[in-house]
Amino acid sequence: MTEALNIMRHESVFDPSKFPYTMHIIGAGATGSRVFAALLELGMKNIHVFDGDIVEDHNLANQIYVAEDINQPKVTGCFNFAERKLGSADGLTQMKFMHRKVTKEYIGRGYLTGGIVFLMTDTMESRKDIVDALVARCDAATRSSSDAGMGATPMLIIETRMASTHGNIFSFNPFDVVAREAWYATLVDDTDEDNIELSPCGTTLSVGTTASLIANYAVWQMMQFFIDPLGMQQQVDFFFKPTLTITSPTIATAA
Amino acid sequence: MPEIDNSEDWTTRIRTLVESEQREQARCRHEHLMERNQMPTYDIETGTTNTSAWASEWEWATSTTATATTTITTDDYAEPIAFPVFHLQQNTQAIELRALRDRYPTAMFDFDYQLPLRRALLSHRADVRTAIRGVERIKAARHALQNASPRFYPDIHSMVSAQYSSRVMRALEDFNTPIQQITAYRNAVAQIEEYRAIREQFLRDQPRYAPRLAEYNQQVAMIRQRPVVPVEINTQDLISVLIQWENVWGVAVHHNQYEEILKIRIGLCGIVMEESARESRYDTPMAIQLAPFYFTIKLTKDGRFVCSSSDNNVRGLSRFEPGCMMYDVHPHQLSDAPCFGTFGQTMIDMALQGDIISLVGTLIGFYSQYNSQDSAGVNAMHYHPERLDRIRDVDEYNDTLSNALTGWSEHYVYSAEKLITATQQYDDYHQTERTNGCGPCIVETMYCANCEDVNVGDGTDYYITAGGDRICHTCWHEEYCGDCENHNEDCQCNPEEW
Repeated sequence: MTEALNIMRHESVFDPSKFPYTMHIIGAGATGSRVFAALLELGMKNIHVFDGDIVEDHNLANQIYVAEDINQPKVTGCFNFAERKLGSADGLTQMKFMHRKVTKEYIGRGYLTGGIVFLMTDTMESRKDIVDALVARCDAATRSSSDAGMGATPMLIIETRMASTHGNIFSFNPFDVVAREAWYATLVDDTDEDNIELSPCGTTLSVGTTASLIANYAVWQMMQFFIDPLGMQQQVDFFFKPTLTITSPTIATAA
Repeated sequence: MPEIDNSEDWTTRIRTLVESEQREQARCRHEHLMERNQMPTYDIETGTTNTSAWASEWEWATSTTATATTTITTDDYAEPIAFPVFHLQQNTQAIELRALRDRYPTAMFDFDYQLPLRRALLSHRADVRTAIRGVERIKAARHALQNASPRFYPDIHSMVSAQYSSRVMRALEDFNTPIQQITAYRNAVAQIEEYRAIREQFLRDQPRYAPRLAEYNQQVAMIRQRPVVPVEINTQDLISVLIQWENVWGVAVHHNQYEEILKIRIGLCGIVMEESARESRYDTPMAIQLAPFYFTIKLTKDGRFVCSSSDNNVRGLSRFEPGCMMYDVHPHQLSDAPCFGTFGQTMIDMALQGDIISLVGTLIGFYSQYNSQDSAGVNAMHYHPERLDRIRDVDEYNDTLSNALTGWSEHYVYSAEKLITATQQYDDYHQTERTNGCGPCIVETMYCANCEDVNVGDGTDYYITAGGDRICHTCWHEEYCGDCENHNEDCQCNPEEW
């Protein structure tokens, strides 16, 4: 890692140089921006951030952006954050900041290859489309047994969901048919009002501390995948009122 | 050869004679000769010139660049040439993938357990359908033959016999034999039963293997996505290590920067090949020395290597060209792809990791053995001096070998003394051993092509199929033409058609 970042305090727990894989962050909102910050501080070099939105003033309360980032693309805000953190942009040469939405077609054209995918988009539908495209790539690679194919498939998909006082983290192997079917079963309807928390002004509720906890645990899932795969739980549910954490080695299917 | 009359003229002529690349070499040689007082001198009193050294100098100056290069690399007065540094992308993925596969049960890879049953066994069902269709056709053929009128029987018979072998035709025409006794019918039934067993196995193993297969694929993706590590191969260090080895008389390297290929040519001497099979085919397996030779490794930037057997890349005392030099210097021929028997995978892995020293050492070990149980290794005895012609011209032999290094690359080191001594030693060995002989002839041990258990070697009783395979008595009568009147060399039946 660039000399500006001294990682000696956590290197013995997680050494990023041993895992030079690409980290794709799809969605740089409350959770996504904090995932980016956490990965950056871990010392990961190869981070690709995708987001099509711009920073608005109400984002400052629950996302990593600062006032100067308002009206700029969120990915630019991530870049600025990284530059401020490291003191220069020298250590960001392997990172990509893509001001765009990730779609099924985008993945179908061969983009977003390999590595670990952190999926934190706005809607369930978009998450389903992205996972559909990624698992199709996995299936094609296994059928053809091609080396190039396996070099482009994601190794792990980490998807987070956040409400004001609770959240979920799903981590599944995209090659595992059972696991991804179970994940598909957890998807809810975006238009179902019972599943949406709204503020008095009509926007969805989002608490920065909740986002921070979920984001950092999502990054821990990534670390666990590398250093202790057997210890990684496929589903983690957080509750803060009251405080409760439930983990499960497999994704629980709906009754 | 121009006339010699003035030393200054000769110096000038040499300077003008050699091209720009050789000019510096000529200058070095000139200074060297000056220092050693070997320049031709003009005797005023006698009017003669001492031309002996000059003649040799003239010959040298007009010779090929290879000779000029020799001076550059070994002459103390010459400027040293930098040896190339080769950058190899260490490719350990193949090694890791193999190790990963070994951690999982082999049965897990029989099917794609992630797929539903019908999709996973699609090809098996297709095979069963094909077999059933075959039975239907046989039934139709029997019906046609059985019900054909005498007038049309010959035509129908010729149509049907064009589709089936004589053995099947005999069964079809024997109307007293039920169709169920025909081999094709029995095969179809066996295939159906086999499919049922496979299906049961799949359903039984899927819950166990499906998640493990997903885990395996995930690990494969992780290995495939790990960046390659570059390895720097300093050829000067490589040569300096290899030339110290007892069996190495010379090493040369050639770096093709355009194609990013490194070639390493290694001259070996004193190689004695010994039997490595547990049970030798020979009555008296012997250690057989090889004449000095060389071989060439071609290494690509991603760690793959080949050792082609063409005359340019391997040369030594030939088996098939008596007394001459060709590539057939060892019973186990090098081919265009690494295929070195049990050595193969080890050497591939070494090359992938950029460990060239170990690779060369293993190749030397490969050359130091033969396996008489191998179809190629069984010819090892033909390299014994009793069956191999002597080197026709030892001096020419040595020159050819040394020129193969010196004329091939400007980056080489070789020991002429080592080579000459080794060649002479081999020649003496050849003379001695030729008289002693190599012992009794090979005892052919060959196993039945069907059961691979019964010895059907020379001197035993066996049958031969139309394809040339030797078949023991039991297999012949149980599975081949037991009732065929033409057996042994005259057999025309092809078991594959049944």
